[in-house]
Order: sequence, then structure tokens, then C-alpha cells
Amino acid sequence: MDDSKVFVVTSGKGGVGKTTVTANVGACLALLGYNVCLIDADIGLKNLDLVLGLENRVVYTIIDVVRGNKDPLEAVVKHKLLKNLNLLASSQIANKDMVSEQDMINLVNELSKHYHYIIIDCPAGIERGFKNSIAPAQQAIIVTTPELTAISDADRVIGMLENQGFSEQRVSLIVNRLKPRMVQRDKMVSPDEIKNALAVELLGVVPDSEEIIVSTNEGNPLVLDEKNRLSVPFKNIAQRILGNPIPISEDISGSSEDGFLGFIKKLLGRR
Amino acid sequence: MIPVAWWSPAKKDSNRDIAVKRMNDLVTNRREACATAIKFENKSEEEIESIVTYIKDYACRNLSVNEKDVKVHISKDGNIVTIIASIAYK
Repeated sequence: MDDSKVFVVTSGKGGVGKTTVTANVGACLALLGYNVCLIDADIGLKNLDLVLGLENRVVYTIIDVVRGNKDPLEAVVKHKLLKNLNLLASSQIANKDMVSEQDMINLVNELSKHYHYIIIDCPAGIERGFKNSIAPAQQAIIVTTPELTAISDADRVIGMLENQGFSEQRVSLIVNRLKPRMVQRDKMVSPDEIKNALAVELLGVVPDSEEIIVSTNEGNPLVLDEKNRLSVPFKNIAQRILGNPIPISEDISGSSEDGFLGFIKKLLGRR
Repeated sequence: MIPVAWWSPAKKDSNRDIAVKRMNDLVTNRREACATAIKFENKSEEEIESIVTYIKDYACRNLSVNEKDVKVHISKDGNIVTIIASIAYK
């Protein structure tokens, strides 16, 4: 497709929610009717198939495609509930050195003929896997949590992206696992403060929630549950990717149900 | 025995203020200046000059910095030319 868009979701630090963001933003775009292909570039430590509940359906991986044993379209797996959400899985037994930057560029060039959106789930770190993942990307989404360790690593990654020729317009930021109550109590940095420190555009803010663990356990992106409050920030992020300016404040509105009411709701198990 | 004060008249910074200060210190270190070195062999003066101009133009266009904040240093060792571009971010 001529207007195919290629994103890489990266962070530097591990465990900040790159895979969750990739799965849910991809699912939101698919829900809106776009053909989406997610690529798990975390070779050797794959997770995206688990988050999507596709681990038993994966037959061929990115390594089979790179080696020329399979065409990219033969290797992708369709999601069980969202037929226009596809995954090119990674291999657990291969290592990152088996794929080059040019391999990734060739692979994405081929896939971009068939999908509106390609989202690459980048591995943690700034070595080979990172360089492979950013090589074919047009836009980079940096995921960070409001912790100094993650912010520091995100800053390093932004510097590396700039060195690779990514302009400011091609880099955006998602603040994941925000605890609005902690920000209110002056115990956590706010998304605006992180945005100003890193000097990149804020694409979205995702509040911290136990529901992420529940959705991973079930193998379904949580945005598939329309009643789930946490689907709102991911849907807003998808809208912003499409160019619709949704205020960032809407990402966290209604998420801070602490106090007595929140306690009662949690006690009753209401989502 | 050292007496322990349970109340101090000095206002203590909030946890968030401390985090914001540390965060800005962390990221400012990288953003103040970023230098990259590249090496060439057997290049003429005109070619080197065009590379320097390209680096400055590229930095101004894509990194939102002023031309005066882009310093390009050239050193020669025989037929090897090293160009170091240092970009100061605001």
C-alpha cells in the first residue's frame, strides 16, 4: 500500500510496557478497520504472541522469512477475534545476529504492500536488535514509565534516534503506568514534566492498572473489552496516530478511582 | 544521646520536586551537547566544505537548532580527515 505507515515501539529499558502498547495500539487500529501487522523484533525473548494469545498458532517466524524459507505473508498469523490484526512472530531459539538491518528493511518493504500499519515491537537495549528495529521505521514511539531509570533510558534512545536521522516530528512519547493519585500527592513526576524534559511530543498517557495482567493472562488485548476503562487511552492514541487531536487529559479522566469509592469497586470486582 | 526533632521549620522538597530536579539533571547532560565524529580518506577541500555545509543545514532543518549552535571541527592526519560535529541543544 502506498500510504503504509511503519512505527517502531521502543524504550531502551525493559519491562516498561512496549509489548502491551504494541498489541493494544495495533488492536485499536484494527478495530477501526485498518489492516495491521505487528512484528515481534525481540528475537530470542519473544512475548508479543503471548499477549495476543497466538502462541499456539505460530508456525513460521521472522527467521524463516529472513532465511528465505517463507514469504512474509505465509508467516504472519491472524488474530482469533480481529481478522485484520496480524502478527509476524519472533523465534525463541534464534538470536539477534541472525537478522540484519537490511533484512528488516526488505521484510517491511514487502509487508507494507499489504498493510496500512506496521508496528515493530523493539527489544530492550540499544544494541543489534534496537538498530534492526528502527532501520525500517518511519516513526518511533518511545514508551517510558514515570521512573527516573526509564526516563533516563528513554532519553538515551531519543539521542540515538536523532543520530540515526529521526527528526523531532518522527519521535513521540507514551507515558505508561502513570499513577494519577501519586502525581496529585507530589510523589510522581507528571507526564508534562517528562515531556518537557525529553522534548518530544506526547502521544498518550496510560494509567497503571492490574487489568493489563488480567488481559495478558487471557491472551486478549484489553481494548477488545469495550467496557474496560483502560481501553480509552489506547483508543485515544490510535486516534492521534490517525491525526485526530484528542486532548491528553482524556487519557486519564476517570482512571483515578482511589479512595473509598475505588476501594468498594475493587472489592466488588467491578471494572 | 542525640535529640531527634519531630518537627523542622525548614520546608522539605516534595518527593516529586526531587524527582523532577534529578530527571532534568539526567537529561540535560545529554541535551546540552551531542558530538559525533566521522572519518574520510582522500577528500578535496571542496568536498570537505560541502560536507560541513550539509551537516549544518541538516542540524538546523531537522534538530531545531540555530546554525551558531552547530560547531564543526576538522582535523587532518595525512590523507585522513576527521570531522567532529558538536550540536548544542537548548
